[in-house]
Amino acid sequence: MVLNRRGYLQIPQGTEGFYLDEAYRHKKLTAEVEQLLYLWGYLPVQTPVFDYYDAYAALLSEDEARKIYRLIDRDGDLLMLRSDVTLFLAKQMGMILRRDDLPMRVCYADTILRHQNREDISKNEFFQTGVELIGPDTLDADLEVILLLRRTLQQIGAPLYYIHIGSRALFNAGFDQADAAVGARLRRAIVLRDMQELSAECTQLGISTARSRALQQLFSYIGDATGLSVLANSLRSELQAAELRQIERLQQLYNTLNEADDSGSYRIDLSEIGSQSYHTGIVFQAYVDGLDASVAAGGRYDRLYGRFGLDTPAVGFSIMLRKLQDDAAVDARFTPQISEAATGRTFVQRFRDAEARRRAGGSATL
Amino acid sequence: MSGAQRHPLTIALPKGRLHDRIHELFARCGLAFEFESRKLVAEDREGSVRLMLVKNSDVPVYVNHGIAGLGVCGDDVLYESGFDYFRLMTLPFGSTRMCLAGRRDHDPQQDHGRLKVATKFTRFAHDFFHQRGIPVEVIKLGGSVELAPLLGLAPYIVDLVETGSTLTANDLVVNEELTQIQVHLISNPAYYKFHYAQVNALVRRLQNQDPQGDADEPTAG
Repeated sequence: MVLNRRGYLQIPQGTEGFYLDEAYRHKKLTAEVEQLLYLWGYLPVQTPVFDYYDAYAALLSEDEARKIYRLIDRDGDLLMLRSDVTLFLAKQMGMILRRDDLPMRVCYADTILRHQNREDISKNEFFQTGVELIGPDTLDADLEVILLLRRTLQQIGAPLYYIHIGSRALFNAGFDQADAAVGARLRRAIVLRDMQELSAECTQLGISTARSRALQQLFSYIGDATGLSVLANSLRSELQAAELRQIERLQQLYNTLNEADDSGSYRIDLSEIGSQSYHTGIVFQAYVDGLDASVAAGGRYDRLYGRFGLDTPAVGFSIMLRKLQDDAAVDARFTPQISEAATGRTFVQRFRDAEARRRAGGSATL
Repeated sequence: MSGAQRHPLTIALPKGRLHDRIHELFARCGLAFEFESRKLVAEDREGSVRLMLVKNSDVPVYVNHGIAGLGVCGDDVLYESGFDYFRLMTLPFGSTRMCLAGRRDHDPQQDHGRLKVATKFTRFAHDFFHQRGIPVEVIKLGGSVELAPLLGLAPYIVDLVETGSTLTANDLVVNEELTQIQVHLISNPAYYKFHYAQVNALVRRLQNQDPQGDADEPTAG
């Protein structure tokens, strides 16, 4: 009996608990971020914990589908636990929003549940805080969301960071002839900056050696808009008009970002092509000095809502606050106040003393 | 606020057979380092790199967790780790072969269409044969894999073969070369993204074996 109970003391993979100081930090951090999002006009939404699996099955890659927890309800329907807030939100908003409601700005702070390998546990994130700007497909909307991410990182006191911005639209323009399986392999090669693999896939697709080399140079580029301009000009003869249009759009986005905010926090990174199968336009991730994975990811998904009723574009991001809250600089700002014991001979005296201390901004216990 | 200060790049190096070759390469590139007696962390003289000496199979773990941003590691160890990395360059030494080997007198008819292999590289062996539609039973061993066919644990082994002398000494032969194994400089993806200009400068220095190094190239991809 004792042995069995020991087994149950483990927490199953795919979830976590956090307590006391850690939970306090998380709640304060989330509240501060939510307050900022409200100031930018984003209203909170809460998505269901589980939903019908079949509603999302077509939107999940093989790898994503493997990580999802599924269960069967009492009527025999297959359900899935919320593994990605954006997916669940698209269905909810797609059902309730009317075209007159657009543009709509929403924000969320929810748990997600999905399986991760035991060895990947350090990269797990089971809590997503984020925003979606539903309706506009403009450059201004992309700018708003990226600037809001930067403002969020600034607000919570994140240490050194960069936001790397790329484009799934550029990838789609470059490899429009690839089917789903080849597209997934190409995306993996680019995301892992494996140019040997990208070259092999280009050969399979019958792409000329010169164009293949141009695509390898293009999709490994990191830098600023000027450097991208120089590179695009040198590759112009091998690039297609649709690709050049996406590059110009990125340059415009980058230049306006830097005009609005001269912090030097932005980099164009064409190996950023989006991790989700539903991405369609700009995509971005934030990297913080000293952390082993990106702390925020986002992008444009113009066809996701259409699958659930309202065919409208959207752009958004989610930020992994749990990764940031252990940073010393962030930690120092969100440490629980030390409670002092109220003084007084009687309970009423102690109660009044505690109230006085609380009015002065302190924390007091009876 | 962004604007990174310059810190040494952190690199996990494997103990063992590759260490001397890595030391030579770094020295040729002006990045000579020495681990003081019993110490497992060292820096080069100019403070460009901070090196950590760890067990070969632990290199991907340190890099995955961002303790070391970069690492030197073979394809075999990388595959077993299951993590994703950026392979920044292939080093000009340390390449070897992953092979299926068995007893010289083993009759393949006795396999009845399915393999039983002993190996340290269970993930690789499992995936390799499954992808080819060959049923396989994989037995995990920690070392001295050549003993498995001799003692009757499994008729085959999957292991690294350099010269083949260990196989010959144990009356084993290579049945098939499964893949080439090379040694790479790898990076944690997030680390590379943050420090890309500094990392690219190091890679150019190692590729060109340039003792002076060159200036960072802020727009380099």
